Amino acid sequence: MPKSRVISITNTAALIAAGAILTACGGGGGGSTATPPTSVSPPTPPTSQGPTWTQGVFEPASTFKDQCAAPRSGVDIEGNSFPDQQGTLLEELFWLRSWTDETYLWNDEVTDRDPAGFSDRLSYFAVLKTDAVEASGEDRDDFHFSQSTEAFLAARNSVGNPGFGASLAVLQGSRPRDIRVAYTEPNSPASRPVGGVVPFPRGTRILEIDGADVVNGFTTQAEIDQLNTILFSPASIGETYAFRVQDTDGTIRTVNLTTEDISRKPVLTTSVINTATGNVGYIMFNTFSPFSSEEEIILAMQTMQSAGVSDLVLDMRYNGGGLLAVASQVAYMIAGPSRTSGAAFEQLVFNAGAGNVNPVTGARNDPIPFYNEVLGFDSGSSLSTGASLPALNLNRVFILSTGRTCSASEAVINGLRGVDVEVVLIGNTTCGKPYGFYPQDNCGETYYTIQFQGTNNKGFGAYADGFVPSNSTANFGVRISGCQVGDDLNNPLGSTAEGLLAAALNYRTSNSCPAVSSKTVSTFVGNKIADPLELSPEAEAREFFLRNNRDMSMPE
Amino acid sequence: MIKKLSSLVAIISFGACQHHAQPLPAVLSDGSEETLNLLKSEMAAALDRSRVQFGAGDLTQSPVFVIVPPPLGPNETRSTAIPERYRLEIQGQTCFAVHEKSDARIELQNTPCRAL
Repeated sequence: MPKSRVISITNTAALIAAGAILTACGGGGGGSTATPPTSVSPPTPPTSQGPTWTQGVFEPASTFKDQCAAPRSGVDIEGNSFPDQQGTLLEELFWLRSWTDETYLWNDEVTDRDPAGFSDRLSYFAVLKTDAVEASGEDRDDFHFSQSTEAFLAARNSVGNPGFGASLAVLQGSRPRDIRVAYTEPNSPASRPVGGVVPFPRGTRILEIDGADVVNGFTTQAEIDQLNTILFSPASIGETYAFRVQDTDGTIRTVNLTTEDISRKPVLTTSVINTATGNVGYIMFNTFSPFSSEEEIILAMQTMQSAGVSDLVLDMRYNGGGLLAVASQVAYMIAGPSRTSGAAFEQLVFNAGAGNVNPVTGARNDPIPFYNEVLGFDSGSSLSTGASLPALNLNRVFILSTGRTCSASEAVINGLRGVDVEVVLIGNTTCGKPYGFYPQDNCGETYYTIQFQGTNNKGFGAYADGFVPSNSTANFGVRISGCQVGDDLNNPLGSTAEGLLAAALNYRTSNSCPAVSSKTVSTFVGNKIADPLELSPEAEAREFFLRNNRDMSMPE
Repeated sequence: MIKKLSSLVAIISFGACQHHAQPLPAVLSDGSEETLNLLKSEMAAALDRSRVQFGAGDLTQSPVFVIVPPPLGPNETRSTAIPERYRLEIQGQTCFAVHEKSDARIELQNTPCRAL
């Protein structure tokens, strides 16, 4: 705590004491009291100037919860009353300290520092984490951050966000920049044909925006910020820009696009590929986050079941995760009832002090099962809550991956391996996030601190360096069967000519991988997520793919 | 919420002793927006939330309904959020929402229902 803060509290205490004296003496003047006081007890001096720090001793976090230096009043945008009470910055810091001790996964690796030595809550929160590193040299905790609760609530209550509906791949963020279209949302400005031409097919390279050179221009930090805003987080709908682009065949053209409210579609493509050795299903599954993801993936699996597929290629190369419950349903629908009955999809592991209790919710820490029924996330769903899920009963599955394959997507991989379904990984090393958290508001700031690790039915969850295809040259990560293949932006997703899908189909019949070329590998290998969660929620929501691949910082 | 539900169990269990009729599966008397809003309002109050959102289901056909969790924030990539499932019951003339996991019973004073 800074000296000024101590003085402030001391002065407050002195004022209270002075007030107490005046009150006890009948006021400071005026003389309206007819009877003079006959005896006055001396005021009791304040016994406390706020919480005091004793190393290794933690009061319950509830002691300090909602005791705010600047309490909010009224209700939030969801209509809930703010719980804040007048408190102090010191109490906010003590809450962070106790909450970390109670719920942080690696609480025994946090150095206990006196909150009084910190002048703001964010700098104190920043040190309430482990400094340990993984075998790869990466920080063990890459996911420690916070944001304003106002921004958090706004983001989770927004139906869509302004954008063009294109997810971009930054192959090179510094000049000469190479920015391509990875995929587009259906019926969005980027995908809706204009004059019979799709504005942004996969692989399209962006050359200019409103005449400004994207490849070699945008040189000052202000210009770079402007470029990022236009491409990844336009401020509003109705903004029109002229894009000069280059198609994969070299054609250069100009297209005008206007931002609209964009919502992400969980299942982008579904198809059944007829082969001489049986039908192969293909599902491009991009997010577990919207509640509609439950219905969309179930309907896709029903299509696979109806087609009698003997193998499934689940394309999660851009799937950053979301609902574990839907991940569990996906795993069930792949594996079927015989492998999953009575088994855990994922067991949450909390810090040692939690015992068998979830320290965040207070509930018993039961494993997450393989859900075999509709859970009813989507009010507009055509599916009945409690209806049985389709099951493909496969003993292996092909999963297409990149460094964007993260969290709940990795839970599918790990959960299936826990019940002995072979996962064949085609693409690149996954992001390596076996961890999760419950966002927690206190005094207007929402904090994210790692609180649990997910383990599978065999108790395994140590994949912080990601899952790695077996022929990868990577030195770290959990090696599983499959092929290292660079993302292929020159072919449409779902095309059997597209590099990852082609490699999966080839592996299926030959058990062999395509040769690893340095060019194809360079796109994503080594591009492990530095910290996808440090980006602003706006950028996160609007462009989840680019965030890990862009580097448009100023040169040194 | 769990504590709140536990309290409700205790309170309502006492009240339930005074009913002689067996609880029966029930559905909403009608599917109007007004009736649905009554149920939402009573559930929100019981759960100490400003509002609740129902998941998939037709409460005029099936007694089972779910209350969905708040939507995910963009950084929640591994969320344990899950819908909470309830069923409608009628005991005598009184309708209840029963939390399936805990069997906590919430008396619905304003929401009309009928035996299935």
